[in-house]
Amino acid sequence: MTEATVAAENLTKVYRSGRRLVRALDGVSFAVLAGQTLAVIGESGSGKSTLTRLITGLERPTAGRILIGGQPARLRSGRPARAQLIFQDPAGSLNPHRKVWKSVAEPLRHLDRKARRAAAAAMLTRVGIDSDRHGDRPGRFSGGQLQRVAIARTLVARADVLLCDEPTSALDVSVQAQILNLLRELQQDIGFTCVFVTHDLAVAQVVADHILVLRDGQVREHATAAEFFAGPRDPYSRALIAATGRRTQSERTP
Amino acid sequence: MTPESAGPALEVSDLAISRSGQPMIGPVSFAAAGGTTVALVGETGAGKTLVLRSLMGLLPAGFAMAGEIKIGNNGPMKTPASLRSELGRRISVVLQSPFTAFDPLRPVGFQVTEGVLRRKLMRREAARERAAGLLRQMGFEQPDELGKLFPNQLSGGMAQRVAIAMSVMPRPDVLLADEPTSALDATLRVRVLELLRDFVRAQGAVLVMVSHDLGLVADFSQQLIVLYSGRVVESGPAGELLARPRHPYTQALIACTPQLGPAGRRELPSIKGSVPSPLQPITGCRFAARCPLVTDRCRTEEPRLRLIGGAQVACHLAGDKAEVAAHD
Amino acid sequence: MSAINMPEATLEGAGPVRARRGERARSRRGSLTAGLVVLGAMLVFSVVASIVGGSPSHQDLASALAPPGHGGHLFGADALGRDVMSWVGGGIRTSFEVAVCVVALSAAFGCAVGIGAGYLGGWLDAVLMRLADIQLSIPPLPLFIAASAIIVNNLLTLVILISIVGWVPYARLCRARTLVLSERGYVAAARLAGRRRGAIAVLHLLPGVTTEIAILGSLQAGVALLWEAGLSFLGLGLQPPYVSLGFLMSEGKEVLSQAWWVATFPGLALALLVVGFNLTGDGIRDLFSPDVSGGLR
Repeated sequence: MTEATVAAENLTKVYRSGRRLVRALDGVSFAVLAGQTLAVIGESGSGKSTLTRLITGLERPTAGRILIGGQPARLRSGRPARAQLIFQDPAGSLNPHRKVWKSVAEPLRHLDRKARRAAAAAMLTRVGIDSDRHGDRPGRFSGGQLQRVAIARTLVARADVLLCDEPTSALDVSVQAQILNLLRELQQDIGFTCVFVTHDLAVAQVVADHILVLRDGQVREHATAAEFFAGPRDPYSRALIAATGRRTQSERTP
Repeated sequence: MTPESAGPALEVSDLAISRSGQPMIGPVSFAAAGGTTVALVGETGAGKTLVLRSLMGLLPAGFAMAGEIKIGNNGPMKTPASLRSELGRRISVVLQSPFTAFDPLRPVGFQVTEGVLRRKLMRREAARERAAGLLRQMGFEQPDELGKLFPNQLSGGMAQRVAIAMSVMPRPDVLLADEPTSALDATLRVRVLELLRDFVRAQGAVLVMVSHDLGLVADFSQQLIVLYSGRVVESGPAGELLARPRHPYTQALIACTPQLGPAGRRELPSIKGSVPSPLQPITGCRFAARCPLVTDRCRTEEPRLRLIGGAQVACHLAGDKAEVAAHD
Repeated sequence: MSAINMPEATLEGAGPVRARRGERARSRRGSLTAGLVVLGAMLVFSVVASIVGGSPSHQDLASALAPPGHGGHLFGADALGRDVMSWVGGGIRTSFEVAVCVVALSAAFGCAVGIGAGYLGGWLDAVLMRLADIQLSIPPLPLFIAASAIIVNNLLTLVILISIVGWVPYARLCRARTLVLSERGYVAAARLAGRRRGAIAVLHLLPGVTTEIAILGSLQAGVALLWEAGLSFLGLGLQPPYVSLGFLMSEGKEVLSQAWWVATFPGLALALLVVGFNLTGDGIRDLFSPDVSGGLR
């Protein structure tokens, strides 16, 4: 698995919504080093979801570019994308009519059925889904399990970059811990680069090497996690920390 | 409604929910004074939404409830019908998704006053004034302009604030909130919870709030009730529970909730396995299969709630001298 | 936007919801069973009728306009002595053939157009939807009359003509459904997996529309039946040697006061067929419709 860096250069995306033009992203630039995790913090309308779609190549930027390992991010039919995506809604990310192993094996169409099934089974087991569940359809799984299946699919695609768009926001807190631990373990083993989009600063602190704060399509702050959480410079960032920081007032178990 | 000095403003006694005759949730008991907040905390499948729905008298077909609910000095209510009749009067509801609270085809101003007008709780002029006042409290400077908008023209945060104003119009004694902030952005959550708390204090009402986010409700609740697989495992004063959680599940839940602090990238403590359905028959403690401190007694005998140090705890091991430490 | 993506707080405990669905499904399956029973009975009858009554086209002038029960004709005979019961039996089979073929053809074409328009969007969507609009603006009856001048008494061409008139609802339905489905995560994931758009349409979008198409199809089957019968009644559809219920009804119209059975039995059969298909369509729809919170106690 080749490690890759992700670099955004002056990324801009403009949509037409009715008669208005919406600037979802405006001149966003950043770089993520190979094997590291960048947490993208933003609220609704900040452009964070648009960013994930641009990095994967699902959409093209209006201006600027995205480079993965030095190459422009482009979706080519016939080959899995180098950047894969984990969605916020685990159930929506899997075809409800198909068995989960088939969904996991989707990136492997160049192999024969046996090999596909074996590869999918191996990855499903790796993420913690028992082999007797591999033939079930998504409706029989919990949210946390579905997210594991989705992760298995991205690994099967040999993704260099894993984009996580609020992957745990819809999950219970104990399940969230399991999924975050799983991602951490897999990243240590495989070494993919991760861009983790979240609105939850506490979760960002658990996963991130670097932080990027987006607001209204623009970068407000870009710093190492240590710098950021010690004391951010941007007033918006400070407001975000203050809003979450209230929770640290509750005492923890000794 | 004036704050009660004699007796609790809300008292729930042995509330139990069953499905097709099979016991599912409970018993849940608590009493709350006026102006306070009770938080029902638990994960998906614990049954907290059903508890809230039973307090509204809105259980789906096939479900039955037992137990009593007393509001202030009024007679106890035991049936869903009696509770339903109080909806929009003494009991009011705030839902998770603000948009489901509104009819998409009518302006919000009309909807905010519709309830109290239909029930003839207020005259038109009084209702309109009260609505304008509440909307201003919610942070809207031009309530009349806002009232002309349709629900789809509001953002999530705006809609939730209007929905709260709508719920508190009849001056309810009990406000039931089902994850009122989980659909909102982080900065809005605190604001909305503050608004709820302010209303409840001013009214002398009781807020019963369901949440899966322990950390968030901690600052806004006086009482916490922790539900696991349909049973209350721990309940008591919020400060006490969070400072000294005694049930292994509560401890684990707190431990695996990320908090901003000095630690950076790390592995989080987690609970292996998943929550059993409240309907699944289990001998002994329902948390035994996942508990790091499990003993043989836990597997055979279901622990009952005992009073330990100011909180009710359902665990055989709580209160023993050996300190139950957070696990990895 | 987090407000929109956040899943609703649903009823906790998967168990109760599924059980409820089971209870309700039993009563809902009533429509489906009734519809299938009716259609099944009609098919069985048509087979029996042919065995008992012989060939529908067999003329026996001696029993011309024989009332039901006379001369071995359970449903009576028409002006040329043809056995009404076996004609009705043959007509039922013809009706089935027409209904099934029309639905298959118009659904196939309509789905292709609808999914293509919905998924690919852009100018293709615009062109295809304008094509649909044009189709809808052409009144069917003048079209059939005009077509009958060229094409005479052929089952295949009739099926094609009726399909041409009826494909638009399928296209509209598929397009609407596709617009929703193509926003789902798994469609994006399929693209990220490297699937080509065509494969995505077949593997991921098509299964998502099958339920709605099945419902629409069963209801449209009744419509197709009525078109065939109506056209045959007017002399524009199927004539002998084809066995059509509509044809017999137009014959029966002439002798209605003397021999009510010639028009009534085929008319009854037609009505039952349409009811059968409608019940089936309702039944499928009820079976798959989401279980709205099952009432208050």
